[in-house]
Amino acid sequence: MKRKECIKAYAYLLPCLILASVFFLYPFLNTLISSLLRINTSGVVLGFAGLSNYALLFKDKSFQNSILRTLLFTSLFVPLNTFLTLLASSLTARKIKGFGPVETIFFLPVAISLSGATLIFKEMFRGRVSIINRLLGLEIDWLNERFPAMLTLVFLGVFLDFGIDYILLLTSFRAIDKRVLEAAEIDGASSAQIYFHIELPLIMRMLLMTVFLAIKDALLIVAPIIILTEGGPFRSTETILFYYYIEAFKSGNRAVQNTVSTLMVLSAALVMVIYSLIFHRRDKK
Amino acid sequence: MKALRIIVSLILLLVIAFPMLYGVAVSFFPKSDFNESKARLFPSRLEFRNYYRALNIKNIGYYILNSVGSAALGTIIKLFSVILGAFAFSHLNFYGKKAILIILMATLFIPQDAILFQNYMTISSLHLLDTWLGIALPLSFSASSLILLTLSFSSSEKDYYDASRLDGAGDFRYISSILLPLNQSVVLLISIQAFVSIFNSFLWPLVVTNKAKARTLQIAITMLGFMEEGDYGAEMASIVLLSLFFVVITVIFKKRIEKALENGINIK
Repeated sequence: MKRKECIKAYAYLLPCLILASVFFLYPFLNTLISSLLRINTSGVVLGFAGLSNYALLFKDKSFQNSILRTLLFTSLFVPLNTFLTLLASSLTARKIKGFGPVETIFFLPVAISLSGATLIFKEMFRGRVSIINRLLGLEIDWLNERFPAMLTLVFLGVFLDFGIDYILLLTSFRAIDKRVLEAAEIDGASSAQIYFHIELPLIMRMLLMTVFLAIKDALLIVAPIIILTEGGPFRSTETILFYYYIEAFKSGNRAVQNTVSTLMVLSAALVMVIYSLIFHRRDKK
Repeated sequence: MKALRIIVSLILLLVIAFPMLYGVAVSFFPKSDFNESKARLFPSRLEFRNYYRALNIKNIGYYILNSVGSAALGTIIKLFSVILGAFAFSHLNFYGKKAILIILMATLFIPQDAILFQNYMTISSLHLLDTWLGIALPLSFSASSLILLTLSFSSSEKDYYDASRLDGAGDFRYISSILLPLNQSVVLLISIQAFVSIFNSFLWPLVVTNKAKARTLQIAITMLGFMEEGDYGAEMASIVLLSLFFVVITVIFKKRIEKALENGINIK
């Protein structure tokens, strides 16, 4: 390796390294270390705190509530999202004549911004006279009752992620070698057999990826809540990052902000680590 | 069997298309349509004034400029850093290549929303609150774009690089006149993705802008006050206008995006 080439390479990598360290690595390491320190409200370090900030955090009733809300959201959102996107992509994987526009519409939610979609959902589920109630013959005050508000958030989440998950699954279905499917057909396999024993295992990689990305997104959900419910009614949609957002920017609570921040980065990383472990084990087989 | 497939897909289609169609329908509702005891599906008459009002929002010029400006700035920063980085990884040999790659990949595990406050403090101490650069900077690095481009650059012929060096062309000349044209579609995909993701981002611009005139469109549409006045028609009209551009882009580029994804899936 020539010295000149090394120096040149470092210079070219500098912009990436600066952006990555200033806006990703430094903030994470800083919160991680600060979360272990005792810091007063004006930012002065008073000493080492060990895990006492964390102990305090877990005793906080609002934080406990936010964990439960986040888990509830995740357990509702991930299965529904996976089921619907898998269904849509399976149904349209083999081209149907004239279905081009259908594919485009399934993909179209990627073009709608988070705030735009959230405002539309706010209107769709607005009060007892909402259009959703009229069409389904219901009498629910969606955004002012605990569980319905959570459900609205789940539906919104599915809509927001639908386009990208659909196109990822659709392209992996279509990347399957057609000869394999034809061979199975000639051997007399039913289309259900082909789907469950050949197609589904072959797209499992991508399906797993969309599931784990959905879990990660669900654990980190905050922006739609700020627009849709502001954590209400009765804190029933107050997720962990919403709690973090309020504590950090409205109450200015440093200990809470550092500990929650650290915990959430670690949990998101954990989800991705579990994913890559499963991924590698599947590859070895 | 095929009939069942078509029926189920059409039902699903209705579910997914409904929010978009309803948004368009509501954007034409006259004010009186919102006071009825049952919500309407279609407007009683087409109220085009909603669009007039959406276009005459106070400060709308600033919002458009801020959204486009910060997204364009972020896209340029991202392209600049990622192209140079990918070039180094794909064409040069240097000490610590693996270590640097690992450091950059580590960012994939750190979600922006979870370090929101720290980044706010950084931007604030750089005196970049309420600026385009402040909105753009934390959103303009993406390790996944770097990987994508490195893979793409690696697959192009190294002979061209050696030949262009023999001819005395510098690296920048080689990148701009050979490497980028060869990898046009990936670069285009990264640019669109960068622009759209910054343009459509909500939480970070919300946190980092305080002055009304510094806000982006995505923030502004949630604060128009139309909703509070029961003026949902104008609110929806502004959302329709805002989405229109990206809907058109998505429809145009759908085939290309699929192609790029298919290639990506085959590489693995």
